Amino acid sequence: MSWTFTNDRAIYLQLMEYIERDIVSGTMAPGARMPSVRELASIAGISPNTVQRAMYEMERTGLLLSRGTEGKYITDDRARIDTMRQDLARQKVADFYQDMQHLGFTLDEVETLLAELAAGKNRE
Amino acid sequence: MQSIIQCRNLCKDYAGKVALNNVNLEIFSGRIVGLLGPNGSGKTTLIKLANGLLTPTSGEILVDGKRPGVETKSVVSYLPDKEYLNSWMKVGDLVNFFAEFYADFSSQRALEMLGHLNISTNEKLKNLSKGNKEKVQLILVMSRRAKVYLLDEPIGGVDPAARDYILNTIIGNYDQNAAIVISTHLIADVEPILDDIIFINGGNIALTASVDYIREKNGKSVDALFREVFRC
Amino acid sequence: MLGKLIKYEMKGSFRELLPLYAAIIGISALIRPMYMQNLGDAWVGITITVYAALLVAMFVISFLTVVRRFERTMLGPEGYLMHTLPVSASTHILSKLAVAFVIYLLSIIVSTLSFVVIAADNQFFRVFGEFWRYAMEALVAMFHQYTSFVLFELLYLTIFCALCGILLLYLALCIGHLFNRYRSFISVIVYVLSLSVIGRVGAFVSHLFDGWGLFGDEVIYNSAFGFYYNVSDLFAIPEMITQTLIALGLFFAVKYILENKLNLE
Repeated sequence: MSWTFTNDRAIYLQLMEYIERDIVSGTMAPGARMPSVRELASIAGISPNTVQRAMYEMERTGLLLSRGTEGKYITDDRARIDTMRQDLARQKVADFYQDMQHLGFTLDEVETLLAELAAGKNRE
Repeated sequence: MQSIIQCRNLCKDYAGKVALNNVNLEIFSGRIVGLLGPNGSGKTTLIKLANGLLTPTSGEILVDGKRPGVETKSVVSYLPDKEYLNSWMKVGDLVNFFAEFYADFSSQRALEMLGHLNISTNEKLKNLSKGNKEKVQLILVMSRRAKVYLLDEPIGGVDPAARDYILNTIIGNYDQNAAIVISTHLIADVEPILDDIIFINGGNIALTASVDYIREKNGKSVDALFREVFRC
Repeated sequence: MLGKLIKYEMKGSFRELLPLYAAIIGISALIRPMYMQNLGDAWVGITITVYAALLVAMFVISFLTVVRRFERTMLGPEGYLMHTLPVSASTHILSKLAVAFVIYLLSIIVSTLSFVVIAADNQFFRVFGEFWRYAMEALVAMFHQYTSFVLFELLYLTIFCALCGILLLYLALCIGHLFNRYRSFISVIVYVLSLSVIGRVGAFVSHLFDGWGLFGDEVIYNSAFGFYYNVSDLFAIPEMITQTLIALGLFFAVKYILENKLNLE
């Protein structure tokens, strides 16, 4: 877990993003147990209150489930995780496309570049 | 959230200078608070007032609902900015000293932490490196189950690895019934672990806010905001 | 808490003093054979000078230890540790006072003991025993049934005099601490001036209560020196009260400064 946080944005949001990324990529398995607030704070080097806030938000959106005193667990609703994965991907693509537009590229030019990249990868 | 420190119209002057001017603030349990300001802004004065080393000129400061005195000293754990421990004492002697005078001190925790750092209890304090001395002082302070921790420049003058250790020890010691107040000018290093901040300048409180609020509202770090606010 | 503080204070003070006291006794043991054999006036002269110098050194170092301990732990960097303990200023002062008094006693005991080590032999003890008996007889002849009371008064005044001396030292240090510069100088001036002021106050009170006959008109005959005197003259109650009040006054003055005017650097 190599999480580096920048100080110009709320850390709980950044933490949520990292955890979502880890869940989507499978680094954190569905249904797996989350470390405690204290453990997470220690690993991440941030205030337990920040971790608490992030966990609360993720519980609210259903990404995390609370099992009373046993702690918090990642949802095992694979459909939901998949939806999140798709949403994240779409967001990344949208951001990428917007950046390319700012550089002055058209959609065709972007598609060509992407094809080149894919071909290059196949040759390897 | 319980208010554990309250300042009402707190003023302190000495040597003909106004160190604190009508300070009103509250510090809540379970929060890690940064007390941030330039040198001579009144941070240390405020901390000394909270642990009874100074008495107010006017106004009041309450810790756990009481004026600073013998009772509050047993719930306040203070880490001063300087070397204040008797350097000919052995580390083990210091652990025993704290255990004898503070009912909330856990020798076990202290010894565990010292063990992790490979600091022998038989070693005299003066023979330790500066970094290790700071760590020992911090370990002693954090091994108490206090209601308020007042840390004056806990990471000043130590290498980055020691800094990480110290910040991690502070996080690891978090207790929702206790408040941790960190006074420092090394804002960028401490910022990730802070919940709330207090900007103080020339004895006046310039700003109190949560860290999240500052970032959301200003789109910049507390460190960046500090540089703006306190531009020379 | 007081007991714990005293224990810690003892450790801090005697770390340096005990070896010194042991050295004095040790050197006395060395001097003894020289003294016993009476090696001649030159030797006697030298040994007495050395011995006297050592004793003076011991008293001076004991005094400085009392000063340094208070200064360092109450007004110096260790003050950060001490004043944040859940202990009242009164307890701190009492613990330091108690240990300082013990140091005072010990230095007297050590000097007496060293003298005994040098000069004591059977004849010495015999003469001493006789002297003691004679003194006791003389005292009873002087004071009759009030002898033990007079001794009690003497003891009380001596102890409280010592306590006042120590407390005055602490007060002088505290007053010096109130200033930013010339602290040592101010402390010394305060100490010396106050000593003479207190001395005068004591004499004044004594004089004030002279001849009032507060405790009856009984007349006693002093068979040791052959005169009559009034029993009231034996009762140093005003002096005892004055001394006690001065001690209390000094104590509360030190307490006030430590509680309200402390400014550690």
